[in-house]
Amino acid sequence: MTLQFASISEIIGGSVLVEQVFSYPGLGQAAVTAGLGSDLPLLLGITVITAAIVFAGNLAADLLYGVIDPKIRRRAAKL
Amino acid sequence: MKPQNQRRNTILFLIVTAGVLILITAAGMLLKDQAVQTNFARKNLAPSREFLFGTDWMGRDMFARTLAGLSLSIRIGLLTAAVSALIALILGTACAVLGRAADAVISWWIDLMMGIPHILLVMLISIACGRGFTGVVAGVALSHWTSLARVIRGEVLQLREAPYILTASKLGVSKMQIVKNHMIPHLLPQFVTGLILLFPHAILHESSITFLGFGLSSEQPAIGVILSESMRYLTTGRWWLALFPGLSLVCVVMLFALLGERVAKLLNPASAHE
Repeated sequence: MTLQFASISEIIGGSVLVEQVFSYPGLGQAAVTAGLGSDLPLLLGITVITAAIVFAGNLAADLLYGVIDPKIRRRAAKL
Repeated sequence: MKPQNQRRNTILFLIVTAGVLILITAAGMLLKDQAVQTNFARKNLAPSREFLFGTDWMGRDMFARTLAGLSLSIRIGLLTAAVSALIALILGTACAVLGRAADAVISWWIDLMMGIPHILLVMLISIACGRGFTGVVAGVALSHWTSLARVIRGEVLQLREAPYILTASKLGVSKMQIVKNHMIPHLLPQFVTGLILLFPHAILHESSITFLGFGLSSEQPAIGVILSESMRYLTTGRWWLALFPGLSLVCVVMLFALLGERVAKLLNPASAHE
């Protein structure tokens, strides 16, 4: 399950290409337009947001492990 | 039937695959002039016996253009993969050998780079270096080292406690000598495997970046440019402009991946005797 959540960054990366091919107006296309037009603040902002999404995904994976696996819950409680 | 000699089969397969890839690269370099030769009398022809992959809207032979593009992409991929692997090797060993502070800093750096989606990272670096050829090469080269560095760091951390390394340092061999004479030969199989497996990744990322418009101009046909330009003509029914370059890109990437897997199997002392 950790592996699934860790590949959230691949989703964002894939969306950049897919949105360019199918012209969906999304974050990926915004990133490409920002890059091509040298719009640096927008590009940096998108980077920060996607990094936050990746971080949130991994955090969710950690918390879910606590919920699912009682051994980890017990160890965390002992600490 | 006699059981096949697996090692001999693997080496044969390696030679054939490497031969095919070198052939493609050389053919592309030789066909470069033919690839840009336009002839408006023969534009938009479907694939036939004379033009194996058809011609495009400017009359250029798609077969020559695809080969030239593939060869350029392969060469760029090789260059960037080599640079990335070198960075990964240096940083990975520095991590484990230079002490705890260096380890903390470099690990933090690796985590930072792995947290940003890969294509965004390549875009950021290529914009910072000015777009165009240098931008693309710099972007791809400077962002692929992270996973390999992590693997090498794990290996070296494990290797540090090996008896023969400890004996060497007790006997007074300096750290640089230990790294050069004992650790690097041990790491070589994994390093070469990682290097070969980096090529297809680098080629794919390079073609996606040029597809998005960030890199090479259309005079230097790399596969990404060919694919992005041919997208405009798909709706008018000229399917051969995109199908053949795409298929050949997939085939080349798969060949590299298979090559990497077989080399890994051969070089890994645990599985070399299967």
